[in-house]
Amino acid sequence: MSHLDPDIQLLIELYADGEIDAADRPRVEAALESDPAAREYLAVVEELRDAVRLPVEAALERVSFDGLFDRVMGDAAPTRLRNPELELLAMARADGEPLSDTDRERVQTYLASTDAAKDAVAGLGELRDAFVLPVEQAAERVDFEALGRRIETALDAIDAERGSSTELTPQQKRSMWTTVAAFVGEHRAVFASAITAAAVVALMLPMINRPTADNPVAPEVASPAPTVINNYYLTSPVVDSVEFEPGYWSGVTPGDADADIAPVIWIVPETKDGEDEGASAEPAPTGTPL
Amino acid sequence: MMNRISQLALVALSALLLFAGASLATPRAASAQQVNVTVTVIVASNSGSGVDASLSAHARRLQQQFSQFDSFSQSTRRSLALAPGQSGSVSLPGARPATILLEGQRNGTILLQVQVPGGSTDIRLPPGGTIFLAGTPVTGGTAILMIQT
Repeated sequence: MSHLDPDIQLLIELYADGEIDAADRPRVEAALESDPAAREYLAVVEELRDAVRLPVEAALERVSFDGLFDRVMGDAAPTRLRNPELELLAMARADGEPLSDTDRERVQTYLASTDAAKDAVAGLGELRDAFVLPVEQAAERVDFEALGRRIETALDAIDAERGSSTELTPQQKRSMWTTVAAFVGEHRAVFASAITAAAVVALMLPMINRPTADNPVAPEVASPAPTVINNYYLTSPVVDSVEFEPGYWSGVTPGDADADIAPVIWIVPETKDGEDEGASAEPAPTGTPL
Repeated sequence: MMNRISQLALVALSALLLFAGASLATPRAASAQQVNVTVTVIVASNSGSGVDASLSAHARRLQQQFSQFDSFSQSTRRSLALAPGQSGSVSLPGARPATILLEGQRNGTILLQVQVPGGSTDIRLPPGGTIFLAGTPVTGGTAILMIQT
């Protein structure tokens, strides 16, 4: 990559975000027309932006973070009543991860007896869904390794052009950082929430395997907690979403990998006067309405 | 100084990207592979005819999981070889066909979107996984799609 003026870098970033002033637009467009380095830089900025922003923004549309942290941490319940290990196992179970019979029974007993735990597990699930799923989808579309190499190449090329002994001007410093800083700044709320999620995990992990009043000898954890939350290898089918048209209802009967029971998704016409439309006399399916 | 800034910038970028999860290191080429999805269309009813011989391998599971029906017959069985973004369809007797779209793969998990009359669902299946999608009224009863990878 040839030398790219720091001013142009900054203007390209504004251009990519649709925030460039009308007065500066001709200068950027001229650079993009004549300079391959400018086009390459615009492509990198756009790819990075689209890779993460779009799915995360979609996630933020779906999740309300108001009070979520309090729910997860269970402000209203004494900490001694909480068992982080069982809450992580509950999340794993909800995702179809097979548990041992002993662990399954412990999770069921725990959730049935601790209201705060049910809220916490639901809150952790929301946090996970808010970030993991959309970013997984982004990861499917983007070759992050290649993108990282391109960014590295671009930055190194600019370094080489300027010389490592050259003292940076404030403008150069700003331009160098805008690739990262503008992106982080634009998505500050997202990363703040990510930090919240990380804090929850960080607070909970040290409690795992710590003897408590309820569990004088803490039981063994089936697998490392971060693996359970974020990076487990899927062994059972998972239903991510079900959408149905007006006039239908839907429900999901959960599976049980240990018992060789597969999940059942129901999409069924609503009944009229107790009859299924088009399938009269058939018994109503079992399942949990969504 | 510049190198340090570049390195810091890369560290910051890496942190952002790693936030996306360990899946980021998955080679893109892996998601371009075709996968086979087998869809068996079963018509369930209470006609008293029991379970089709063609479904004998699944009789116990069907009778256990769909105990509201007493009869199961196989209507169609299709094996679809799908690449990411490709879809295939399976006919349902007397109804619009079901459509199965391969959305992608990750860590060996297959992401599918299945559309049937009245709705659609996004599911993730591990290799060898089975899931049922049921409820569509069809000729002779209610359709049960057995989707296997």
